Amino acid sequence: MTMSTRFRFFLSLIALLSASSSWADVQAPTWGGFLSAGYIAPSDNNFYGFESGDSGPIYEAGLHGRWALSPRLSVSGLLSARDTGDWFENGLVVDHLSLNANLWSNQNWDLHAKLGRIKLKNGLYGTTRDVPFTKPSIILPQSIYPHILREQSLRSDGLSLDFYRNFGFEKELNINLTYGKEPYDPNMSKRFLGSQQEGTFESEVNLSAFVSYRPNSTWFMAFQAREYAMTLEQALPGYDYVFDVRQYLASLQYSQQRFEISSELSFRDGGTYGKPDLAVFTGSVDMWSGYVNAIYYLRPTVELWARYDHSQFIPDYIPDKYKRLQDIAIGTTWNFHSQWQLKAEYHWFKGVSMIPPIRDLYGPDGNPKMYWQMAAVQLSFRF
Amino acid sequence: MVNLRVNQLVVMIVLFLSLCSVAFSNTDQTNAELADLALASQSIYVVLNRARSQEKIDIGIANRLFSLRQLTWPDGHPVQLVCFPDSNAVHVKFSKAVLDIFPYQLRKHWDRLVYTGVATAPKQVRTDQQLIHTITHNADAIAYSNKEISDDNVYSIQILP
Repeated sequence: MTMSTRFRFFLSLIALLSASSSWADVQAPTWGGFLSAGYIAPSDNNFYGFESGDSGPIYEAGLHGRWALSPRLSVSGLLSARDTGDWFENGLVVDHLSLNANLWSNQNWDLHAKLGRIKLKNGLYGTTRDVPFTKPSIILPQSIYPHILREQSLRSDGLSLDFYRNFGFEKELNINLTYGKEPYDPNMSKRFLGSQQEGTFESEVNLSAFVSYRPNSTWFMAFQAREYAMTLEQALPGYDYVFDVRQYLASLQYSQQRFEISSELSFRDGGTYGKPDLAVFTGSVDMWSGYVNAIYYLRPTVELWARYDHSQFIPDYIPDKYKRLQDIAIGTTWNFHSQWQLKAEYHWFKGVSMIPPIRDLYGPDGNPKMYWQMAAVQLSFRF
Repeated sequence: MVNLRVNQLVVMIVLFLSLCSVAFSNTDQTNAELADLALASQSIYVVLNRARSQEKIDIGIANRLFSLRQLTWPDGHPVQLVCFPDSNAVHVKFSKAVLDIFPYQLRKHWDRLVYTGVATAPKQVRTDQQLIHTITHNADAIAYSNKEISDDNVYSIQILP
């Protein structure tokens, strides 16, 4: 079933369900959104794009809505528009659109199901990585939220189940299972194999499991296990390119009134290969990666943060420059009005392992510098 | 060359913001902390429209409502939360005493649920007058206050002594 067919089927399902709900139950939809404009300026390398220059503007906008069809049934979605350089396709995207059912609920237990395009639960910030108001920095730690694999951990077309157990107040256990196919940006093939690569990756039906526990207001911990496999058919004439990986992610957060320390550690296990075998497509993506991020709340509306971020491929045959990416970064977030936010940050990088393309089949090395820096600033408005 | 200039500009903005923050933070933070201390012994009430005078709300239900775990009233109507800004002393007290989290954690929790389609965004007000106006005109809304509020359209239930 193609993506547009799946969406037509889903929209028909929503129409049928809303027609079958009594008018007394159906509530007026609620909606909101955000607009943001920013600029990122790497000193070297191709983090931003390959034709649009190595620095440039970033624009992001989103319009979200929620429509309660009955006390137990709702439809919600977010339509987003992005222009963030030519490694990503620009324009409108359905970020998520799902039919949500509250299957079972009492004072301490909740079981929810979602059907449609669903946000994947992925670490502390993955679920809403495109929303400026929900992430600590403009550029998220590339070890856990890599630029190149953005869609892999963002959303899935399928079904998800969420189980919540509350132990009073904010003590909460959440178990989430998601089964579906990740929809990919057509430009993802360029991020893997170079700016001249054509074609769009097709995802397998993948499973994702997420568990989180908050024992009190101070600690939050989570663990996620995912498999993701995808194929780029006819990447080279007669050869498909296959990417097959399992990822394990542990998250820990410690919060106090004036500061918050977050750390996430990930292990990726898998590889790439050609179908049929092709040496240039064969490689391991076994990798350790993680970061530590400290936020200090100077006042309720002003955050100062600092971060150390490290990604490291395990195989010895990978040259040092491509084997690792280290990032030391500082930044600030200023919520100067309830609807306005200004972010600014500066990064010092060593290595290029997590910046696109992973393996350029066509051109000269677009990421020649081992040591590079990046500045970014972003102004955001919510409504 | 262009990149270098832009980078320098952004670094200057970062430093400027930090200095501004430090300059403004001392007095505001001290005032907020003093207000917080003054509130420490004060009660917390939830404020509702009189159309919901049959609701029985205790601290546990308030916790479920304001942490967005319970999204509808028993009659099926969606709950509309009404809140004060993060720096408001009543909000600080309510977050810690009723929800057991810090205001910035609560804001992030709300944002995450709103932007993933789980819940509707709380409506923010700045004054008691705005709060009363909002509750008066929305029978599904619920707010909190550090004092008992009662008139022809609005009433309060004490949830913390």
